[in-house]
Amino acid sequence: MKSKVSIASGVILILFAIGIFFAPNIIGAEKETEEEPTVAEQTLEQNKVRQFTIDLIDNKVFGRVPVKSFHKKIHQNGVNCELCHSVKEPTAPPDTRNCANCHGTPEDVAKRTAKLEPNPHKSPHWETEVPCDTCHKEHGKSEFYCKNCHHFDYQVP
Amino acid sequence: MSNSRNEKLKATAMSRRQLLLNGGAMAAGAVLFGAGAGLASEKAPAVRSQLPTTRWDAEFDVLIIGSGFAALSAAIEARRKGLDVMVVEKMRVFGGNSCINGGLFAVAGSELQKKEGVRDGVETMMNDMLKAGRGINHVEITKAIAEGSISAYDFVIQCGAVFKPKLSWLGGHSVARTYLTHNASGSGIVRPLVRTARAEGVVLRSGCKMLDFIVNDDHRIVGITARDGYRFPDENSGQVRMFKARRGVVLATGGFSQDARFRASQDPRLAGEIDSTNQLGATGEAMRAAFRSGAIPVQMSLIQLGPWASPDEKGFGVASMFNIQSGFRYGVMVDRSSGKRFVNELADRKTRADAMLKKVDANGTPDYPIIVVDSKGAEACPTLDRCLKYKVVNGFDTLEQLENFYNIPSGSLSRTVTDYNTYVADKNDPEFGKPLSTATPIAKPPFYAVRAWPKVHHCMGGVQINVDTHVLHSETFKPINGLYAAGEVTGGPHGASRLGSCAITDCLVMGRIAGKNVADNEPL
Repeated sequence: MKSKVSIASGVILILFAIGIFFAPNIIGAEKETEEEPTVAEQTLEQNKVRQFTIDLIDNKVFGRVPVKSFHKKIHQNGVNCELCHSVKEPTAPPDTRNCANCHGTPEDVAKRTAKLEPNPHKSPHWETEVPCDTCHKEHGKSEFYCKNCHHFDYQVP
Repeated sequence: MSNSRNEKLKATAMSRRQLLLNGGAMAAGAVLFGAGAGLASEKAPAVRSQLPTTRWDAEFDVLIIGSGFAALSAAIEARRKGLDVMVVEKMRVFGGNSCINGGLFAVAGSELQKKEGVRDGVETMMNDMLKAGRGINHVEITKAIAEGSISAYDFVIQCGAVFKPKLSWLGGHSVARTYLTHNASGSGIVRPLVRTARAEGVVLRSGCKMLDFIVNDDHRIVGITARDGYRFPDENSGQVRMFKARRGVVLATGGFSQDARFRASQDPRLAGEIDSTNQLGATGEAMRAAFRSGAIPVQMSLIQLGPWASPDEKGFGVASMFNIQSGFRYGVMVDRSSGKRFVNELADRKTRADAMLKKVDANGTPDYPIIVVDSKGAEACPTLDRCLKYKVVNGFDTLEQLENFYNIPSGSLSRTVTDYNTYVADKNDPEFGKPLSTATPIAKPPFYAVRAWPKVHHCMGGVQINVDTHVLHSETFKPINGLYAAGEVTGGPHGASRLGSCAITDCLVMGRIAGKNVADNEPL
């Protein structure tokens, strides 16, 4: 038990080191985001190595359910399931209406990406009714549902 | 007494439920046959009740299975008669194929036709559909569709649909009679229908997959079992629930274009290799549930292929529009291995698709035919830039480069094009009889080419209904009480080949009839 804790604290130290190493890149990048296609895409790319390390440690060492980096804080590092699933020990996928608690209604989300062409949150086929986790998979690889038929592609966070 | 009875019921509930899930109707059939054959002794107990002994999870007057054109029109019509209606959709979004099609809607004798000076009527539209159907249509339903088209148009307009102010003249139609939605997608009709249904109080439930019908002792359909909270394609997701339908169930679940195994059962040429233009959920298990409950299968092997599609992209894609507008009209389609033409490029969908499907090697692997058109012909395609961007269509400065790229025998394509150009000059195609009155020679570089292979597009077959949309029973040829069907899930109205833009008409017209009739059914 004790040794496990010390391994964990060692790992955390390493993480800090990695975090410091990558932090300047993120700060530097924020200035030029206007030219880039999406912020999410960039953030994903920049945090690739760091995220991989964090996820590996969380999932393998602590045996936690993998969650997305941007949700780590709110999930308390994958410990708090209740926020999305409404129960402490979930056995079923959550109601995606819970996403609205933080992100606003689907209409709000669509407004935020209104400048993208095409707007991934407002489909001509289903408007704003596609459930969030059709594309955004919190515990797995996200996918782009429109790709089933269309050529345009987005890196889905 | 009632307590012990309850316990007894509970004890058998599981096994009975299992029985239901495994096809209650078949079990009923077996018991009936047994009795009929005199195998059961006089002392043997009577037919065991088919009804579930557990409680219903929810009760409605009408259950609608599916959420496309037919389902939503049925739901709205039934609701307008003051009933409790629930729409049950397996996928997580509403509308199925109705949301992703081109939004072409044929109407006979419309206002716009009068304005544009087009003479049309029910008879004319019906005859066009019968001609394309090669005479094996169930004529009375074809007629009902043509007759109901005007009022179906008024219905969707009243629900808020908007159409472009110009009619299209589609292949196989004798006159221009096709409306196009404002956004060139079926969603231009579905979204207003969804909004109307919601506003008027229809319950819409997505992620709820119907498993089977529940039949009572009088062989009436009284409800369904469904997987609620279902996530396509995870067959173990969600929970099994039972919903009661006091007046009846309307089956409007579309075809089975995406079910490779079931497709291949009907037409072995359509096993795995062939793609489909349909949404992923078009797999036909609800149709099969109806067959288990006694519905009559109609023309199941008649599955329409779109000859305009390309194997280099998914679904309908961008090449289909390119081939419809430019490739087939102004170009040639050649066999990859010989560089020769093999079919009239403007024949109907069935003729072209059948000819293309023969282009396979000894192992049955497709050798995709190549469609070639010059830049003059490509001008007719409004989306050429997108076709090139996604590299589905490729441009070449010379025909030699094109031959090299697609590995067509050197010089063979050039000979074919030279021959074709003389046919264009003569306005006569002695080889395949392609109508060349508006054709132009293939001469102006760059030349554009696309690989073509048919994709499964529409299932003409399905369950048999009468003009009142009652599903008929294969034992009695009489309506199955409490079961109605409309749209692509039914078979017959389109015969051997459906005419473009007649499916929306079919769904809206028959869906509305189903909604009205199920509402008038005697409640349980």
